[in-house]
Amino acid sequence: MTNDIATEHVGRHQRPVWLRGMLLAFTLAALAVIVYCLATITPTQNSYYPKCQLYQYTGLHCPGCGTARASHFMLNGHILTAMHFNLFAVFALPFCTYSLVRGAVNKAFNVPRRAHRILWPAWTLWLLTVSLILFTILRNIPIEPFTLLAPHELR
Amino acid sequence: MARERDDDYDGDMDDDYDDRPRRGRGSRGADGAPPPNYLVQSILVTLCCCLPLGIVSIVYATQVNSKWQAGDSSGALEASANAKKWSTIGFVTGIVTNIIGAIIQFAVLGAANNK
Repeated sequence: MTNDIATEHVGRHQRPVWLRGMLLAFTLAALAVIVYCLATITPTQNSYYPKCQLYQYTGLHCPGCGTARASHFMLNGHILTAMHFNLFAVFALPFCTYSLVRGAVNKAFNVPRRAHRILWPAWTLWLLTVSLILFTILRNIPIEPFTLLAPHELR
Repeated sequence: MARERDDDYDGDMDDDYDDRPRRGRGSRGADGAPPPNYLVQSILVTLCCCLPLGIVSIVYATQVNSKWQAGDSSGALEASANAKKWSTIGFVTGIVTNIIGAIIQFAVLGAANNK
């Protein structure tokens, strides 16, 4: 899975307004195509989605393992099923998508950044970083309670 | 930061003294808007399977806010630049690896189908 990391940089500095508008439209269209594909095509062993290289060659579950399956089930309204594939992505993806789209729209329409404003205090970000690293370690431990964090089918 | 209240009760002696109540964490760290921390980009890079580089840029992204709140604005700018650099490197590496991997995958599938 490759999400648009470039979204945030759209319309940076003083590009002409038509160019900024077109870049925004293109980005949103690309996002819509990705969302449509993810929602309609189920990621299975035989689907045409690119497989994760790290998993194929090392067998390790990275923190993003199961994100495609999780977002497929999330888009179809099966939140619990999605959590079985990737607990972290279920919480992170809606926030990330919202934040990137809002950032792209703000830049395209030249909305200034607000001064004196830190959205997240530093300790919440450290908590996030540490828990993400812990999540990565724990989901790779092949013992019963921890295997619940690795991507797995419902039983 | 624009001064709204005049606290110079000592004429021009006490120019740097500011006894206004703290308006909240971070608001007095340094002037202006905090540098972008690229946290969302870092998380997406991590989720999209470029694990080590994604973690590096998440750590830098976290440092942006820490340093900004501690008043270290040059450190925050530096961390911001590093977060941007590593998330971009991670993104490009991830794209290239996945394209190469996909080509190999289709080649293997094609070879298996031809037999």
